Amino acid sequence: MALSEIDKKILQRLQTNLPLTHRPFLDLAKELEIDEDLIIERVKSMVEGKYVRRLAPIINTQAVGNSATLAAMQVPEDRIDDVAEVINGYSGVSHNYLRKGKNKELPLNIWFTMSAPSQEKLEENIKEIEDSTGFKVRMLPTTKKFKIGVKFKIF
Amino acid sequence: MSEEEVIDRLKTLLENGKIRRLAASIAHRKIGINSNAMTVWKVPGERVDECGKIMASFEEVTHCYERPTFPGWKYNVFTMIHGYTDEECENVIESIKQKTGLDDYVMLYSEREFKKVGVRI
Repeated sequence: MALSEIDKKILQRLQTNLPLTHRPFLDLAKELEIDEDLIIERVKSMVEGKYVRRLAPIINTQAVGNSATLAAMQVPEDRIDDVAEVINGYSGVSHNYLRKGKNKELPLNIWFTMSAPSQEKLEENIKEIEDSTGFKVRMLPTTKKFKIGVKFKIF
Repeated sequence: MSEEEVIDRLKTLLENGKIRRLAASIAHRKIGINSNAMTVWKVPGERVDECGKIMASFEEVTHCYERPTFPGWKYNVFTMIHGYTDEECENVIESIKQKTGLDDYVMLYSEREFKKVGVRI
C-alpha cells in the first residue's frame, strides 16, 4: 500500500492531536474537508498497514512520577545480540538501537532509553543489566529540554 | 466510565501535563524517513541555552536535550535529526554548525533497531 495524498494529509494532521470530542473524526473531517467515513477508513487502514504505530496518549513520564534516562554501553560485536536482548527484556525500555559514529568513531554503540516508577528502581534495573551482561552502562539523563515532540514533515 | 468522564479525564491529564499529546505516532521509516542521526555536540556551558534554541528551531530536529558529561564523554547537547536521506540530516547539521559556530560533534546513525515502543507506565 502506498500512501495517497489524502492519507498524507490525514497523517500530517493526526501527528498534532486528536480532538477530544464526541466525534473527533467528524471534527477532523470538517477541518480537512474530507468525509468522516473516509478518514476513519483511511486511519484504520494506515494502522493495519503499520504506517501508524499507534493513536494514543503520549505520556510525560516525569509528570506521572516516573524516572527516565538515556543510557549507552560499549559492547563488542559478538555480544551485541545477547546484550540487546537483555535490555529489551525490561518493559520500561522504549527505544534500543545500535549506533555508529559517522564522522568520528565512538566507543559507545548500544543506546537505549529506560523509564521506571522511581529513580531507585531505574538504577536497580541499570545495575542488573550491568551485572548480567558484564558491561558498564552509562546513564545520560536529560538535564535540560529544548525540544521534544516527534512530528514529521510528510511529503 | 461514561464517555463524558473519559473525555474529561483525558482533558485534565492534558491540562496538567501528564499527557503531552493524544496523537498518532507514525512509523517514520515506513513512510520513507529512513535516516535518523543522533548528533551529539560539545557546547561550552555558557552557550548551551543559546545553541540549544538554535538547534531546536530546525523542523528536522525532533528532540534537543542537554545531558551530563563524564570522563571520556564530552558531548553535552543531543539532537535527534530525522530526514528522508542522510544527506538531508547532514544539511541540517551543516546549518547548525554555521549558525552556532560549533564544530565538535559526532553523528551517530542507527544501524539496527532492537526496540521501539510507547512508554509504559
